[in-house]
Amino acid sequence: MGPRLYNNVDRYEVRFNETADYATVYPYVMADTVGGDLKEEVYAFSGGLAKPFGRFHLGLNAGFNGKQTYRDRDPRIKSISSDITLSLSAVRELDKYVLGLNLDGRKYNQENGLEFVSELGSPLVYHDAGLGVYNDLLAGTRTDARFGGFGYGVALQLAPRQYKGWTAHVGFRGLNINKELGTIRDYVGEIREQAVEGGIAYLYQQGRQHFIARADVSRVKRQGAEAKFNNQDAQVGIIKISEDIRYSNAYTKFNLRAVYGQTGGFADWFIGIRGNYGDHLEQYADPDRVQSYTYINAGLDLTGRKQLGKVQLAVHLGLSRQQNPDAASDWDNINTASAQYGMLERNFAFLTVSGTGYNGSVRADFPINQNIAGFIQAGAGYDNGPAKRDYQAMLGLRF
Amino acid sequence: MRQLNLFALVLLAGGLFITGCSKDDLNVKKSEVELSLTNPTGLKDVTVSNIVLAFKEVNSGKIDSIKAASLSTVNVNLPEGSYELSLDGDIRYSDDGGTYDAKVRGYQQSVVVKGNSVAVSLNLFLYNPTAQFVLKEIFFTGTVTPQGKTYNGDKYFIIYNNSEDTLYADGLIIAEAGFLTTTKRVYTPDIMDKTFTAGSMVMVPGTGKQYPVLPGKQLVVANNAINHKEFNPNSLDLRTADFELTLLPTINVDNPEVKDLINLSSAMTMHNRGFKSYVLARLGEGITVDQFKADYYYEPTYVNSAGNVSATKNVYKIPNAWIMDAVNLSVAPMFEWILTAPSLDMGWSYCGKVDSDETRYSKVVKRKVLSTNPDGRVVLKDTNNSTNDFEPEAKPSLMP
Repeated sequence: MGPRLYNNVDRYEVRFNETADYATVYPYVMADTVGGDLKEEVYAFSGGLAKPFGRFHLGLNAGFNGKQTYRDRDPRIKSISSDITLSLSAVRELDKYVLGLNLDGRKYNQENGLEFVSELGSPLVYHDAGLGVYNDLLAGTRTDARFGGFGYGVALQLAPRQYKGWTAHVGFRGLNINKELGTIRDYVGEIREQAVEGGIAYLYQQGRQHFIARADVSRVKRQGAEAKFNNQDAQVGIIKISEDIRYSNAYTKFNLRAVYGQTGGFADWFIGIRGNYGDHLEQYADPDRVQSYTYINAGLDLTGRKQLGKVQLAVHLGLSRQQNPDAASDWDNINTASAQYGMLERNFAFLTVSGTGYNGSVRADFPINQNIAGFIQAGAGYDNGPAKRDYQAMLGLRF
Repeated sequence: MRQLNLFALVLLAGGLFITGCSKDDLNVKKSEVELSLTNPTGLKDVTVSNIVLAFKEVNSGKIDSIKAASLSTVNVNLPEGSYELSLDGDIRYSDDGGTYDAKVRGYQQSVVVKGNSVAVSLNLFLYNPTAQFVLKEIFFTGTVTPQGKTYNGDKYFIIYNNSEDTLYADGLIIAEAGFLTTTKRVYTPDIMDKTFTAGSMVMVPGTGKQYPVLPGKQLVVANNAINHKEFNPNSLDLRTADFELTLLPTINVDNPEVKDLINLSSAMTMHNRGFKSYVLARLGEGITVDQFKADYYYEPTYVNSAGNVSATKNVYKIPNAWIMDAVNLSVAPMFEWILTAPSLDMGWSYCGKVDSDETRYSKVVKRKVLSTNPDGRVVLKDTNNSTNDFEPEAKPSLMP
């Protein structure tokens, strides 16, 4: 049996999205302009087995991640999602290295509903299609959506048998998710995403000294195929008459990271530096809208760790600076008095603002009995660019 | 050496996709639309000019407009979709009596544009914005009490004499649609181009000249003609209304000082989200109420979503020729069709931008002012297009 997880999350002032797992199903989320705080409960567990066959090792791993999202005032979102993963691994031992191959499969589902109990009325519920566009014919009171789809992936890794030497990895993954709405028979939207990623790293460990440097790159392209409908009459209902790929979001990320540390002295300590570059382009066709930006991010972080009796105390401090060399946006055919225009402008400003970020956390790990250990973690962060504050408190058990 | 080759292979595979983001060529499919205009039947030597043609794609809400001095066919390249077509223009025609200039319109919903080319025919019709009684204001949303409860008895109509002559309200009928603008069905018989299907109907009493209305003057028809402020401080005082309705017994409060309208069919309960349409009409020459009820009752049928035939009962057909004004009401996300022939009203107005909009209360649809004559008489806008003629979500004129 592998890790099991229960997570209870409060999300504050969520607007323009009444669907869980935004990163998985975007841009086809159900939305309104009211929103509000959200509660999320996440249940996850995974497990697997591995068996050697000569110079090969074969492994099988399965995982389940379930999430319930809800709000106890109007608009009353109730969303239940499940994400099941299955991974098959094969590792071949070479002289100084091991070569691993991973095949991944994924099944995703979400039931997404919205209710109102106010006697006086409710706001417009619409179904976002990307960059503030939504289908007028589907907007109104269609408050039941279903998402379903599958993912797949293949990855190849090369790593040294000892903690010294070069590692490399390359992978490809794909995701297809469809959205259905109420009693409409046809899909209203279909997400198709493909991603490739790769990287190299160098590991060095000698006595008390530890060093790792790695470079990663990834490119993701998501497209959205959107249906158009005709409302013939109440008998036939709404029927699909056309479909086009109208949404696209593509981004490339380069990440560099190096960490040096020493363990075994008065206290363990690690110092890390990182640099990131990202290039994003998001588009919608008819109306033609686009937002694009690049960013460069550099950061420095320090971690100290000290054993105090049975308690291990760790302190982490981080500093980062982000600059956006290029940023452009164009919103065709939009009412500048609309809530969607305000949302787009605020979102673009958030994505493209330069700033300096500070973060820190403290964590204490302690044994509870022979088989169970616990930890308490508290953290905070602030970025003066978007004036974003993060607070984190975590209580955990490890079995 | 073999391990180095493997390492190089992994690095090479990773390096293949190190590229920046380039613009995607997102294109929507388009169709070549050939639109032909069909002139009103029975006219000779027809010339249509000053044409404004609008193609509204109902999924995106995008409108492509064309203006032309004259044309009989239109070729336009449009994205695939479901379109609402509307045309406004001038027409010159002749008959045995001479040559005439008039206004012409065309309107068609649910035009599917798909494939390489599509041929569409649009029927044109004459319309005559002759001034008569018009519906000046319709207060159908009701109000909300300080406790946040809905309050319904304070709705009203204002009927306005938009002509330069004294008109008599005797026998004037306010009819509410028997169908909904939010539920489009294929009714049998399909007689919407010739008649209006009425559910509730109320009629002003009188012998013919009992209730004169001077040019530029109005009549207030209240639901309950009482001082509603006694029950709801957010409401209004309707004791000075000219007429009141007789509502369902559970919500009717009679003011003996105010004359009641005659219920010709079921009691009128105005839809507080505005899913219905209203017309002003008079019975045809020589038609009595009893004759109307006997001869103009009908039960249109439709096939429901389960495939079964259902009938709509307790509705009457009012010939378009008897109708002097019509107003379609709906809500944008719910709108499916207008309930009148486009010649009576080819648009619709609203209170509420969404279904059950909680901001719709204490708002009316109010007819816009076209001009004010030197004698001070206000002329209201009446082009038989409620989208253009009415101010939606306006403040009730009877509310202080």
